[in-house]
Amino acid sequence: MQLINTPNSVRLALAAASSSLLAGAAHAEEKTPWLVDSALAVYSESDSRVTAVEPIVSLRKDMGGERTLGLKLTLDSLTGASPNGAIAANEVQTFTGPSGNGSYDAGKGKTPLDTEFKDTRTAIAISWEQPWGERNRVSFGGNISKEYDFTSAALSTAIARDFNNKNTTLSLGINLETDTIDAVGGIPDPLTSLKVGQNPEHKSGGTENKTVNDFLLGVTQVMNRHWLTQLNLSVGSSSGYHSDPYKILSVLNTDGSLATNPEDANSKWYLYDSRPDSRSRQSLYWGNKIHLTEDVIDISYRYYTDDWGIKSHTLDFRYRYEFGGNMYLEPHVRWYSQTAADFYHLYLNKEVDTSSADSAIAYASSDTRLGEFTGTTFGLKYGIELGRNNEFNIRVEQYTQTYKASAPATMTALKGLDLAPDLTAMTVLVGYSFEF
Amino acid sequence: MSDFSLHLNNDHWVGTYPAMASLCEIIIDTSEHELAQKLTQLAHHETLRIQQKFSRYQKDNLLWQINHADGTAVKVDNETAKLLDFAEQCFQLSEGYFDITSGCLRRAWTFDGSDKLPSAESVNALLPFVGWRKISWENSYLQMPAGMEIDFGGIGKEYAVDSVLQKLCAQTNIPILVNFGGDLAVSGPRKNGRAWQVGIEALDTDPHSNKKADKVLEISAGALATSGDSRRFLFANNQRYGHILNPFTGWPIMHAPRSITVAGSNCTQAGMLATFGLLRGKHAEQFLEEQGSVFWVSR
Repeated sequence: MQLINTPNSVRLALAAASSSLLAGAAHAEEKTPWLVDSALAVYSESDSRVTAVEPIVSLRKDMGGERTLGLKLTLDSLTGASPNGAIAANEVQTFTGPSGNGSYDAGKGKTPLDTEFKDTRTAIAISWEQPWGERNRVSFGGNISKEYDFTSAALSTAIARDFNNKNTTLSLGINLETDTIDAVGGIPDPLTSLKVGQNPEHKSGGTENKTVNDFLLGVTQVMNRHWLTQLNLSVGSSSGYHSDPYKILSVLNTDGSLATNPEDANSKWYLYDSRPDSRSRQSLYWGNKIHLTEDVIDISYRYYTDDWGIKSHTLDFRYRYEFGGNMYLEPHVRWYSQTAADFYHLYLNKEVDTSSADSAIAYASSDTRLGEFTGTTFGLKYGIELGRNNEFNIRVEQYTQTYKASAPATMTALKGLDLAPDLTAMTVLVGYSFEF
Repeated sequence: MSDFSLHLNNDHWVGTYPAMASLCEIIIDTSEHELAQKLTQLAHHETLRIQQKFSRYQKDNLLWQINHADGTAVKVDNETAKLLDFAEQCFQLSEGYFDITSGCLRRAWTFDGSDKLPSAESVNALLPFVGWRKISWENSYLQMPAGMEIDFGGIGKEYAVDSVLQKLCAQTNIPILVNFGGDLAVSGPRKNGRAWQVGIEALDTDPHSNKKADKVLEISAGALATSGDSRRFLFANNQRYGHILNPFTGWPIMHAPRSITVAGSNCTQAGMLATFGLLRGKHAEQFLEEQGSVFWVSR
């Protein structure tokens, strides 16, 4: 043969020709399917507190040319009782609900729980991802969430670029969110009294708003055939109304007894939550996926800090154990620890913190989520692959949260009270994914 | 219904059945019996479909109609059209050495290991009926002068491997290896990234060879194909005459390797590269080197 070829030309031409030969057959039969991921989560807290039932459905479809469309619908139904922010006392306490209509009691020695708590939340998210040029991928997302008194809308975009033969990926992302709260009964003025008896109501606010911006810079690196690592830096800020319009703080005398409301001698004194109108935060996340022969280890660490004084650490470990050819068992352990916000107070001291004193504070919240606590999770997940993109799984998780909050011994009226009781919760999540 | 057999090899199933003059193996990386059964059934069905459709030995299939059209044009279906397009491209890339109309030359040759070479006249008498350029192939219609015939033997088996793998991959994400007597292709690596281990004996097309699997090939992607003539040859005048014929002369390509194994992105491409190598005779290695191929040659 006197065929003058450039090196590789015949091999490459045959590769192209054989691809064409094989492509035709597949195209007619295979249209890309919708991949569906559905799940039902049931979350239940101890001591008849909050119960949440959450069905989620998410759909994903390859629209061709490596472009992916995603849709997600979440329903959240919460019922139960949630702490209103006041602490237990050695006497019965009475509170008015946010709507101003009902009132409820907290028994002697019991942490007050708002039983008027019932809410349903609906959220829809849409996402789009596609290649951009040779080495980049861009994604766009939109999100709307609505519940009775709260609406949130967000837009996000991100770009990812590959380097080093796809061994390194750099990504940059932005998320912009706006939240509106239309509190039941109106927005209370910060650090004013809860209306319990004859004292006046201090609710001049209608709806309040806050905006949130987040930026993310991430790098994902293939370390070797078995190990993938990811480092993400997030920086964000939010501005606007951050307080919880339903949360109050107990005001105590120096001996720990409940202080009297200056506006009504027959009522106890509780003040509404007040938080700064800005918050800036940063976090660093380091995640790893390690492939053993069959099994996979997932281990990550996250450090978080913000200008409210909160610093937190999260350590998360999962081990996916493959067995029986198509089943897996995945134990999970998570450890979380955070310090309290600067303006976190378990209770307010009448002589020190309130408006009559020189050291009156501007911000205060007893929301346990802003306090100092440690949370540990132990979970186990079982999954079975039933076919292509078809899996059934079930996960059970047990969560325990322990608080560090106490009152000085001089507050004798608080003797014997558990001021910051542990929280335990259990989650059962059943998932089923399939394609159509 | 079971024209195939299924056996569990440690943690994965292997389905086997005879077809295309080979032992066909479907290796499925699952320990789920029902799924392995379903997939082997599908593979078996698809293999027989292709075999029946493109076999020279089948009466009344499309190929038979084409080869007995007596000069009239025959409309072909989509799959046959794609195979003809591919054959045409191979004809051009090999400058005419790969020619699916050269099958009729077998009437002069019997490769039974003896020394009975045909006469020059008997070979020359067949040459006028060989030559892709004499055929009209366009717009789904194939028209050949009476007496000419086409033969997909040089493409069929590798195409079947790729087609079967494709059909199985459309059904499952589970890793699969399809091996038709040494022509094999994989869907990807085994579960969790491990490579498939293929004993070299599985690549040996010589049934009389008793090579033990002392060498093991690791494959995680793509395909392997082996072309060789260990069984079909003539030996005369101290020369070995392999069964790959030169379509211009009607005589075997001289000094071709005994066997060539090539790695490719799919089995069809790998097989054609191996065939092109054989067609280069003593320049087989040089050609495959120039093409940047991964290959093994034995002489």
